[in-house]
Amino acid sequence: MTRILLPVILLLVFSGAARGQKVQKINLNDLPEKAQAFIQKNFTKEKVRSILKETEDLLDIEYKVTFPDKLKIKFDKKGEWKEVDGQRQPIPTRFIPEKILAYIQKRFPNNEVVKIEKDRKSFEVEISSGLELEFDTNGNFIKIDS
Amino acid sequence: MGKSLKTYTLKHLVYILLLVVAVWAGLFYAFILDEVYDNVDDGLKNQKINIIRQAYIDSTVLHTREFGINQFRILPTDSLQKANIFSRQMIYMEYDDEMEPYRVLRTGFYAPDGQPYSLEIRTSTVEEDDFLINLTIALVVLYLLIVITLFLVNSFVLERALKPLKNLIKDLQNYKFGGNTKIKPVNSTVTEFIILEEKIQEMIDRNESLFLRQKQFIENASHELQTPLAITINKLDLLLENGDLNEAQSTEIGETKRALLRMVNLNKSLLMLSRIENRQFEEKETVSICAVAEEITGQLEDIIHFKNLTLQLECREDFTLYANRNLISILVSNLLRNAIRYNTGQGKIGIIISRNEFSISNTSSLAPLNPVLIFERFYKHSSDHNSSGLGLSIVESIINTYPELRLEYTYQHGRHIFTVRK
Repeated sequence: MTRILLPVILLLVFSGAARGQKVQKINLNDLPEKAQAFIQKNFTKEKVRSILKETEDLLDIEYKVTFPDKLKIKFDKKGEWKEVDGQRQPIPTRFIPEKILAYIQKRFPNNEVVKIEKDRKSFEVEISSGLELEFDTNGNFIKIDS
Repeated sequence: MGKSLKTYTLKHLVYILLLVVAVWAGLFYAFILDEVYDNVDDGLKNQKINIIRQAYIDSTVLHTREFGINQFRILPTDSLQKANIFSRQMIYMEYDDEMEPYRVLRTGFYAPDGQPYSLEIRTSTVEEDDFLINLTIALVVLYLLIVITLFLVNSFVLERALKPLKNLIKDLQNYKFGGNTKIKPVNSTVTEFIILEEKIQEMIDRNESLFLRQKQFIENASHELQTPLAITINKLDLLLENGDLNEAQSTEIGETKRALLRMVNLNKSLLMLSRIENRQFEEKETVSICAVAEEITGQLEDIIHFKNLTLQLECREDFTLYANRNLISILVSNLLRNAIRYNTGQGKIGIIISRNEFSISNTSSLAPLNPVLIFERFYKHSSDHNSSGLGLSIVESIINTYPELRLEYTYQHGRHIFTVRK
């Protein structure tokens, strides 16, 4: 499914970009409160390098927060996190459901979470080896997307 | 000769089935191969997960550079290809000393130290050509089985279903005017056959009644013509007897009278034919052909003598039958008159009677006759003006009255022979 969906989504995103995308540099304080709280709670050690506010068609707003070690977080317009990408480096895991972490530890020893994406129905977790695991919103394993 | 219904349907079914089986075979082949590859690919993907998991537990796995018993190898790489790429390869297999098809999965992963590696996993897969050959054999067998089954079903079921139709056709083939006017009931539950039987019977009844009315009309017409003809001839006789006429007039009237007499004969013959066909000679007795022949030859002796003919009557054994004596007399008389009329000067006539057949033969200057046409009404030789053309038709009608009798015409040793058989 994702193999078909992903190009479609990309196409929509790019076509949107073509129609009118606005990128703005903003400060930490300009983020929605929920996003600020998420950063403070999970990423206290790091200093935020840059925050971009991307507006598409005046409606669809996305925030991209980058850290010095290239870790990236994406938030939606309400401040809910959508993606945390460690760029192949392990990411903090406190916000990830316990069940998912337990599963990875049990089935894939010595692997760390390097990236996690969240959408309405599922979590997609990439681990050190590059395998991508899919879980439902309750943290139950669905499949390995290989 | 057309094809029978059975062969007709079978022939078309054989072609259509061939097409259907071929199309089905293509679909089946595609589906099965798709399913097989899907299964094999799933197996390979699962193995990939297991291998990568194991590499994180036991780093020696990372040094598997050759395909071993596990049928995978891991090579360091610079450009990591994480997606799964499947291919089909021919790889030597020791077991049967042949190149065999393998399904190969190429993918990549990161080692615990973050280095990218490429991973190849392979497994033996289905031999497509062997599969195709086997499938073809199986389908040829299936096709033949279907055709044979169809043929058998056609033979037994259709044969049975179409039996009423066959009977109807047979009845129609045997049907003759004035003969057996009832067709056999079809005894079928098939509506079409019941309707067909009903309609055919109706048609036959209609034809028969028309035919009967036509026969009666001819009989009535002939009958009604007799009186005016007799009166006319009488009046002409009176005119001639009065003697008030000159010679030329008398000759004219004489010729008129002869023409009228011929008409009377014609009329009599027609009437006779109609009466025979309308079954008006019902009284029967045992008739001896020898006796009848002697009687008729006695009556015609003068003409035979006058024409200088030799008659040989040979009664080897008597031919007897239970029939109407008058009809049999007319039969013999007509055949004999024919033999006299078409004979040559100094000719011969032979009557041979034996137990089961009798024949009347005559010499003639005429070539052999067409046996199909001679019994037709008003069929006569072109040079013949005095004949009514009805003599042999009357003979045939009489023969038809008695189903046990057969009449045939042959030409042998310069003689025309009419033979009646029992």
